[in-house]
Amino acid sequence: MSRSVPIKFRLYIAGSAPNSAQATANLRALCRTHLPDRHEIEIVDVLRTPKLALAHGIFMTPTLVRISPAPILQIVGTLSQPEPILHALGLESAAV
Amino acid sequence: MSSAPPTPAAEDIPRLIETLLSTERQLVELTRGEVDAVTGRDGRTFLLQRAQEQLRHREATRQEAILNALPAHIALLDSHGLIISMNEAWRQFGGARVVQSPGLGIGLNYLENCDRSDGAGSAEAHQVAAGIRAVLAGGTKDFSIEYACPAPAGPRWFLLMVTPLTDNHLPGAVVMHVDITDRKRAEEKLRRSEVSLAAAQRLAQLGSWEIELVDATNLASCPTRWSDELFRIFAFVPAQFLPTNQRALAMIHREDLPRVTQAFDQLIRAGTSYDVVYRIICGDGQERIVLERAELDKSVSPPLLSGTVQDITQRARTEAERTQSEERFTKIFRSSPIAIAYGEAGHQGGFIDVNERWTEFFGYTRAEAIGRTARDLNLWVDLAAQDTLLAQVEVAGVVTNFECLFRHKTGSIKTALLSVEILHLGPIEIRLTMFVDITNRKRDEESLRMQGRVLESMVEGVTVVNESGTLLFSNPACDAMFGYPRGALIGRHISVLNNMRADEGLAFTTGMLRQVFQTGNWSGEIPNVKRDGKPFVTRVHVSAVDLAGKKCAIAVSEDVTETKQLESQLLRAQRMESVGGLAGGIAHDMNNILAPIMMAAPLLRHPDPGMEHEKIIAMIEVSAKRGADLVKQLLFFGRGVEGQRSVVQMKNAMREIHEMIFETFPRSIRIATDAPDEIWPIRADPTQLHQVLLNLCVNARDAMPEGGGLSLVAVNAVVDEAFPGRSVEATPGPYVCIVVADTGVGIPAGHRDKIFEPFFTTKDLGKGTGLGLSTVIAIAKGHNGFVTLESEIGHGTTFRVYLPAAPAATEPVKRASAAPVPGGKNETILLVDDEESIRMIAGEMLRRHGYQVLIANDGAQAAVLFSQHADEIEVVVTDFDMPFMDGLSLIRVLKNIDPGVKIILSTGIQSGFRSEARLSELAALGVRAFLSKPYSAEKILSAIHALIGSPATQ
Repeated sequence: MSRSVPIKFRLYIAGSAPNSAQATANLRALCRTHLPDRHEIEIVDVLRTPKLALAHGIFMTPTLVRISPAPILQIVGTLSQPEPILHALGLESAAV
Repeated sequence: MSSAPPTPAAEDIPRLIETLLSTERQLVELTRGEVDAVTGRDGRTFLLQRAQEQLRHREATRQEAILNALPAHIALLDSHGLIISMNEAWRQFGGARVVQSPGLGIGLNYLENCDRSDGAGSAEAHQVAAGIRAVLAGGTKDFSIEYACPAPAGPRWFLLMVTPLTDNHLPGAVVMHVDITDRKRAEEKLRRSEVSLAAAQRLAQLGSWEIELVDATNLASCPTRWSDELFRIFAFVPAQFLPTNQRALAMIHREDLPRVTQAFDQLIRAGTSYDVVYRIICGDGQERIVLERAELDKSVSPPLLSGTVQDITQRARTEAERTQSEERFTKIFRSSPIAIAYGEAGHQGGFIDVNERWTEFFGYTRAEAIGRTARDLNLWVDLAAQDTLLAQVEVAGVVTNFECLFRHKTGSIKTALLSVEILHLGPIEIRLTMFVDITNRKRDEESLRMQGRVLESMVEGVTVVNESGTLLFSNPACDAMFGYPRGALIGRHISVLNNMRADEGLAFTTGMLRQVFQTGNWSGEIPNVKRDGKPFVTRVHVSAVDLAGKKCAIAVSEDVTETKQLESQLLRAQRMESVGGLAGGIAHDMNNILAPIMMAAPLLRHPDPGMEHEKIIAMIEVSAKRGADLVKQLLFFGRGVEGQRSVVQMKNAMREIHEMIFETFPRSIRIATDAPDEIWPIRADPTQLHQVLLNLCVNARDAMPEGGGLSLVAVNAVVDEAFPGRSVEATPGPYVCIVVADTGVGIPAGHRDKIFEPFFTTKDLGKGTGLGLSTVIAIAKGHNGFVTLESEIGHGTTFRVYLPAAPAATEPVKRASAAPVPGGKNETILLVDDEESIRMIAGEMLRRHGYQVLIANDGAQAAVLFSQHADEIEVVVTDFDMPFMDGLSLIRVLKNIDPGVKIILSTGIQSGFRSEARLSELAALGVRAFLSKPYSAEKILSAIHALIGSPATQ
């Protein structure tokens, strides 16, 4: 993977609800550790913009969506266990 | 929701709730609790309960915390003004606010509360209500007002702010009260301190400036602030003058500018503070002097330059003037020939400074004097006088010439004239004291006064004469003694006082003065005459003195007439005794003389034819002659009159004595007398001289009862200071010494001191009175002489009597044989001489000899006098050498007036007019009589007498 291509994430949250807050913190920590300088995070609050979640077909919050590179990947939850997430994102080798 | 919903069956509601809850439970289980919300197909998001609760709780907590943390009382109002929320501060401090009554809690209408307000603060409350309404109505974005309300610790200030709640679907407003008391107070304090700073600056004429050093390279761009006072100093109106550094520099005096610029550069570059005094040319064109102090504060950003500028024009000028006057004062003070001290006024005032003359006057150094008082130094002799002086000073502020006594450091007392002045130097009073030392003046005055008193109160007469014998001074006793009115003697010649013939008087005076100026003094007795002609005798002591560079003689005279009379009585008594003594001695002789006569008488009565008559008669004749001689001698001795002094030739006197003792002394005594021809004459009383010689001879006879030798010898002797046996009164000079020596028993050493005492005698009772030798001494002293004695037991005694030679002794004179000097018969003589002494003596002498005298100082005066008195003037006696008009010229003038005038020409220059030409001219003028100066009285009197008797020459 080229370093020059960042991974774009979008995290749907429900305001400052506890799981959402946890997911936000976990995502930032994960990116800082494994994807320094090659990630972008967009936060979408479903309480403020309910229409946007619907358009993206998000039914639960918090939900993490990998927008690029393709394919689009969705992970629901607080993101408190990094290994399965890294695995899903295909970043295991880099992590080891 | 306006339409009523269908009422659900009571049993359906719990079932549906159960379904909802279980669904949610299942969702949570399914997502393991990691999901907060789910979104339905319609896009509605359901927040799961747990998340909902947590969110709500956190939001509330946070809001409350924020509200409570704000330092303000905050309340939320709804659109009607109802309080729907408030923070803790609002709740707690509600009572502190006027516009909110206590317990103004949730649910109350704040607007209505404000509307209802009355009393203090109601105006503000109404404003607040209006403000809130405007905000609620959306008319204004926000509203604020400051208001004060009284509180126990002084008024408290609040700021009320109203902000609309717009981001909420629920309209309303936030009302916030902020306690701004501290800010207000700070503001007030600041304002006050600014006011007082400005006032202080104005009073101190101290301006200040600040420059924010934004750009050190471009001062013009830096914000510059001047205080009001600085504008005033520079004479600019703040509104019309924008202060910049450039403009300030432009006003500095050109000469001072480099200094200021340098200091300012140093300040900016190195932060060195400075103090600079410089001159400025102000906006009104005046020059002022300012003191600028500036510093740089780098602790603030941007760095701040700040400075003060003080107007010291007045001070500087006053200082300059003061320095100048101080310098002047100091100069005067230091160099003053008068002693000056100054100190604080009052008794306690110590000296601030004293000058050099003061330290000399009092003997204390400056260091010793400064800080001490006059009392500390014990300067005043009379403390009461000091009190008097200080009292006078206090009343009058100034005292001049106050005479008082001071004590020098050494203790000596000095007199000073004191002048004191109080100077007011601001609040301090300075006492300036000047001392004029009059100690010496005082002492001189005192001693002069004393001398004057002494002279006045003296019983003795005191006179001062100049070299030529003119009286310069006489004291009252002297005037009285001579019978003259006070002061009348002054200007006369001393010889007028002598009871002598004029020529003798002059000669005596001249001789006496010569001796005085040669030897320093002269003592003796002088026969004097009072103004009324009464003669008397004075004992005089004359000393030479130097008065103001002129040789003078001071004479102290004592009238000894009475003493002399007593003395002469005593002498006469003693002489009787001597005669008595002689009588005893001559009784035998007398009998021897008388016996042949007594025996011859019966023989002649009864003649014997073998008797030689002629022989007997011759014997009687011889005896009678011897008796007659003896009586003659006795008579001569007893008859003698005393007090008449005359020039005595010793040879004659000794012959007479020889004759006397030869006749009367026993034949067993061989008598030898000798007096050489060259023996000097003496001036003596002949009777007294005989008495002296006779007494000594009688003593010699008595010392030789068995016979022996008696020698009587006179010799000349010069007595000097060191002459042995000379008495103090005897002045050195020529003396005649009479030696009476015998070969008798001698005088025991123990008697030698006593023999001259009166009534001391070794003779048998009735044979002597003990007055003999004391008489000898008294007479010798009376003649200014003295007596010495040599004696050897068994071998004899020698007495020597020293009597001063007559003043003219050096040139043998034969006055006794001189023809009487011819006097005048009231003829008038004109005496012309430029020498005062000659005019004086010659004039006085001519008057005494019966002439009227006119006196002229020079030819001109003589001519005038002659023209006025030509008819009376018989003879003109003129000097030859005179200033202005000499003798020759005068004679020509006189001959013109009266061709028959008789002239005597006198001159001190022997050969002067004796040249042939002069002589012939004088002869042609008819001048025949010449006198060489110095001329004697005899000569001039003779010359005048001869001329008057001669026919007038034409």
